[in-house]
Amino acid sequence: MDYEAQYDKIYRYCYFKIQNQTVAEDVTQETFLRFLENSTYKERGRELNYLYTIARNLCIDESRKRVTEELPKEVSEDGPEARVIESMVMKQAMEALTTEERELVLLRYVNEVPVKVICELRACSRFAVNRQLKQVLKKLRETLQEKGAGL
Amino acid sequence: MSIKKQEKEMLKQVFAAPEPKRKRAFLRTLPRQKAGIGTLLFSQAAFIRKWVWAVSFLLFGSVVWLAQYTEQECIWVLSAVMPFGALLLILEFARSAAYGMAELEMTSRFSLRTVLFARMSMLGAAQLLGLIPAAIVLGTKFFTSGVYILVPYLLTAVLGLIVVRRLPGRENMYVCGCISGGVCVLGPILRSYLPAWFGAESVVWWLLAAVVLIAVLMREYGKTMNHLEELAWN
Repeated sequence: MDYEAQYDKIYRYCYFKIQNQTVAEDVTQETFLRFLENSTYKERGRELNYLYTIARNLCIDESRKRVTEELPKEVSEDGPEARVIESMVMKQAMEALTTEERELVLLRYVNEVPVKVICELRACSRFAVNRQLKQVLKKLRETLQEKGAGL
Repeated sequence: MSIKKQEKEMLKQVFAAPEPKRKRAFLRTLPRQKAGIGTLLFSQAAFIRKWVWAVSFLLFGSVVWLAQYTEQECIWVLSAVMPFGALLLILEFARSAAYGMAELEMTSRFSLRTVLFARMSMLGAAQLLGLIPAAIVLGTKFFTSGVYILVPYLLTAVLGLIVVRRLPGRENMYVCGCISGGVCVLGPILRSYLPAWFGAESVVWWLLAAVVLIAVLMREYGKTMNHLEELAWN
C-alpha cells in the first residue's frame, strides 16, 4: 500500500467529515498508527477497508466531542471555500445531496475507493452501492442541468 | 452510468482539503513496508538481463529439442552444455561486484544479499525447471539422467562461486568462462578414457558426487554472502 497516496485520501475524507484542518490531520495520523498496530487485516488483503473503517470511527468520535466543545470551521485562502468558487455550481449541486450521498461521491469518485470496499464499509451489497451511485449521479446531473451548467 | 472526467475534476475541487502540514514528518516516522516474497521475486526478475534469460531458454530449449532425436546419447550433450548454464548464473551473481556497484546496492531498499538471493533463486529455478522436460523426453532413466546432468552444473557453480569470492573485479568473468569450458570438455574426455565411470554401476558415485557438490555449493554460497556483509561493514 502506498502510504503517501492513501494519506492524502484519508485526510480528505477526514476533512470532509470534520471540516477542521488540524483535527482532520490528527485523525488521519491516528488512523495510520492504529492501522499499523494491527496486522491481521493486512494479511487478509483488506487494508483499504480497515483503513477507512478506522478513519470513519475516529471521525465519529471526534464529531461526538465537538458537540461539547465546538471547533471553529476554518476558512482559509487556499482552503476549499476559496477553490469552490471556481466550481460553485457543482458545490450547489452537491448541497442538494444528503450527507450520506456526498460521502458516497467522495469515496467512489474522488478517493476512487473500489465498490467492493464501499460495500463492506456500508454493510450493503454491490448491487445496492451501484444503484445508489447511479441515483446520486443522476440527481447531481439534474441539478446541474437546472442551474444551466449541464455537462 | 459512468462519470465523466470533467465531472470528476469538478468533484475533486469541491472536496479539496487544505494542504496537510505535517504529512512529510509523519510519513518519515512510519516503518518501512516489507515486501512479500512474490513482490521481491517479480521485481528482481526484471533486473536479470534479457540476454541471460534468452540464452538460458535457448540453451535448455535446444537441449529439449535435441533430446527428442538423439535419445540416450543426448544426456552427454546436455551434461556438456550444463556448465554454460551455471556460468550464466555465476556471471549474474558477480555482476554487482564486477561493476563496482556492490557497496551501493548494499544500502538500497532490498539489500544486495536479498537481491542476489532472489535473482539466483529465479534463474536457478528456471534453469532447473528447463531440465525437467529434457529428462522426461529422455524417458525411463529420469533419475540417472538427472544426476548426470546436475553434476557438471553443480561443479561449475561451486568453482565459479569460489573464483567470484577470491578474485575481485571483472577478470573473474574470464576465469569463470574458462572453468565452464573446462568442465564442458572434461566430460567427453573422461568418457573416452574412463568409460567405466559412466556405466550403470557407477551411478551411485555420481549421486554421491551430486550430494557432496550440493553441500559444498551451499557452503560456498553462505561464505560469499558473508563476504558481502564484510564489504558493507568496511
